[in-house]
Amino acid sequence: MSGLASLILTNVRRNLARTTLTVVGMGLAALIMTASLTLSEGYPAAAYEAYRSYLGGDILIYAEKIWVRGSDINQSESGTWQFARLTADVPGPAGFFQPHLAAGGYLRPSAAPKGFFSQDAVRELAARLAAAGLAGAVRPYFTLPAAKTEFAGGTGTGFGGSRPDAAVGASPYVYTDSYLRAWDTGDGWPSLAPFVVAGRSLGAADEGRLVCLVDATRGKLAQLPGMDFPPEVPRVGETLRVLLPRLSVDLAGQPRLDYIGAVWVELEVVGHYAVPTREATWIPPGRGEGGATEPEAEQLYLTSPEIIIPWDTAEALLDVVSEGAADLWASALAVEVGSLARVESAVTALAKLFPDLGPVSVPRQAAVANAHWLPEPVFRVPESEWRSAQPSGQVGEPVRISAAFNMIFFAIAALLAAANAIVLVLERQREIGILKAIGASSREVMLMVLGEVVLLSSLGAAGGFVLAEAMAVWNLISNGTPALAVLLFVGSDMARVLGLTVSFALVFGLLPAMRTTGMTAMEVLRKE
Amino acid sequence: MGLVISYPRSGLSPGPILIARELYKAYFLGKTVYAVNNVDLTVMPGEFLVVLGPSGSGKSTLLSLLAGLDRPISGEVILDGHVLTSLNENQLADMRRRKVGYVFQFFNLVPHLTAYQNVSLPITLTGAPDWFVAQRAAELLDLVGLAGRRGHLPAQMSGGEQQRVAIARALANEPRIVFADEPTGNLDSRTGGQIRSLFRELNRDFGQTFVVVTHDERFAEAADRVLRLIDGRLSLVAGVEESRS
Repeated sequence: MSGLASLILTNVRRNLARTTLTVVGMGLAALIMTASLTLSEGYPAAAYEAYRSYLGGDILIYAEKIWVRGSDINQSESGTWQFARLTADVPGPAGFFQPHLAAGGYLRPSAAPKGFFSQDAVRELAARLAAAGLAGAVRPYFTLPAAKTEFAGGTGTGFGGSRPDAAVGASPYVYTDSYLRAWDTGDGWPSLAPFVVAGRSLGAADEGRLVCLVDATRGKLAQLPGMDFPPEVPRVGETLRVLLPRLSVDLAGQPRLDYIGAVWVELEVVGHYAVPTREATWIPPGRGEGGATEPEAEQLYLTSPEIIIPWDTAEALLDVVSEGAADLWASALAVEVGSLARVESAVTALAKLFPDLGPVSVPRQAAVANAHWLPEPVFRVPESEWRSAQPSGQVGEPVRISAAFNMIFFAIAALLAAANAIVLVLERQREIGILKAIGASSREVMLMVLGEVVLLSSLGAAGGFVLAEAMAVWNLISNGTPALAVLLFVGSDMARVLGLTVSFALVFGLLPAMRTTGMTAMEVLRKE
Repeated sequence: MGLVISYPRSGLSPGPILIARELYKAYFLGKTVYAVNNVDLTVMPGEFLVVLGPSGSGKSTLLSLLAGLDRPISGEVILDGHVLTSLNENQLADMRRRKVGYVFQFFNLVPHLTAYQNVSLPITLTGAPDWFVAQRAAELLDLVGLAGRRGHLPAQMSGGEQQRVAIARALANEPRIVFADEPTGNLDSRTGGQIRSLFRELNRDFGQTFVVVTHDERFAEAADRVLRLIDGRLSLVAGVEESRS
């Protein structure tokens, strides 16, 4: 055995070109494998921070499953589908992220009656998630649809600009696409303070009071063609009148809205919020020829139809409009994982745990929405720029597509490892023939060849793994993952990647090795 | 039953070291072609047997059958009392390792191993201790006159030197018999002469048994016996006295 081992080492050392090629090939395979297994599910800590804070979690579980049909996205007119009127009936992040889907009717209830989550359902879900060790907090996306919203408007310096010609007491601004969102001011919920740009944030003292925050940037929506929006936002201190439809629950558990018996509620605007997300840059057409040109830039905001009210206030209003029939209107749940490093693993685990729900990570959803220049409205970016960014084909269900790509990358890596092993063995046919001729048994030849395959594939896989895993570890550390958990993740990743790479190499090296060693020495040499 | 050619010099050894009986090997090349056709052969210990024949006459095929590198479609080969045709692959490998040496026309050295490592290879396979491997390999390289070239790779050596390394490798485990397939076929005439002399010396000085297949008629001068193979069939050309006269 020691003779064979030294022969393996001699082969590896003497055949530097082949050794290097195999190690690099295996390293590449392991790199792709590690990336497809680990990096694809992790995001840097700060990624999508605004979305996560504003939505209240890292994963969204919708009460209804999302169905995506690409053709409608492509046929949609620019600007018209970004904030469709149906968002009032499908309140929450589903309509928020992908209103065109709601407008097209592609948000369909699954088999189970889950028009909204009840308090009991939320508690049960939170308990099961905690038991499975999957979540730190579960925050219901508690919303109340508004049939109509109006305010007087007036001179002000709103975030979207001033309106010097407006006069107090003029006809009120009316719009119909809004809804109230409950925000718990208690411990454990993200603070809205970082997003408040005028007035103040909501505090514990506001619970039960008729106060609200409004989006400072939404006045700009009036600039978009086809949008029926007031160009102004209600000023801080102004009263916002909201018409809440009556709410009942049918026998199937589905919510029903009655606009006839709607109730007017007056809310005091205590602050404006704005959620900056990303900056769009572009080179205007015609410029940039004949020299470098500074690109144009536009800061985008997560412009929202939401009017944020304290949690207890929302509960009290729900009690009024439903006459005690409904305990919670939660169209989605925001699940906080606490780290984006393994958020997609958590999504997969959640999907397994609750097969009738549709969990989607916030980064994943934001990325898909961003590809459509959603959810932020754009004002200055030329249409030619953002329309060309849209995918031309069918979009499909984003999570599944991403998983399919991961599988494809994984398959490429596996094929690479297999091809490396096959080439390594086939290249050594003559040597195998010689070894057999001088008295090496098939077992010895097999051990030697496969020993070399295992050694080189392990070396390569370790190298590739270290390169890719370093990035994954950086993700984990930057997300504040504890050291022990990082070690466990690295250990399990290493076992998976090295195990898979070496296994593929071994299995695919074994086949030609078996075929070659099964031949007589003369047959092998004659083939050469 | 084919032609039986018996060992010409009786009394050298108690019994034959190699016996081939009714050996057949055929290939299908559009039609069935018999490369070895009903061959019977006996080789005695210490004998230097040369099989002459033109290209395509089946010499290499016959040699590979006799050495246990290939299997006949019928007939049997008995090497040092072991019926090769009834052994499994592992037993056959063991026979090749301990009792057979083989010299190829194209040397068949492992290209990335040095002369020393190539010679060591068969000894290593026996599980011998390192010190023995080192000592034996050095002796053999010295024997073939390549002590100063032990660290050279095959590509750094001439054809003649490579063939000497191959011969040293064939002798590594003190085989009962050495088979050589056109050992001078890839060498110039001067180097070929050196290799023929080396074979003869090894046969004469150490009693090493050789079976050489070649189209090089000059090998006949060194042989105890010369056979001719034509279309896979053997015939006697000369016994020891005739061939050396």
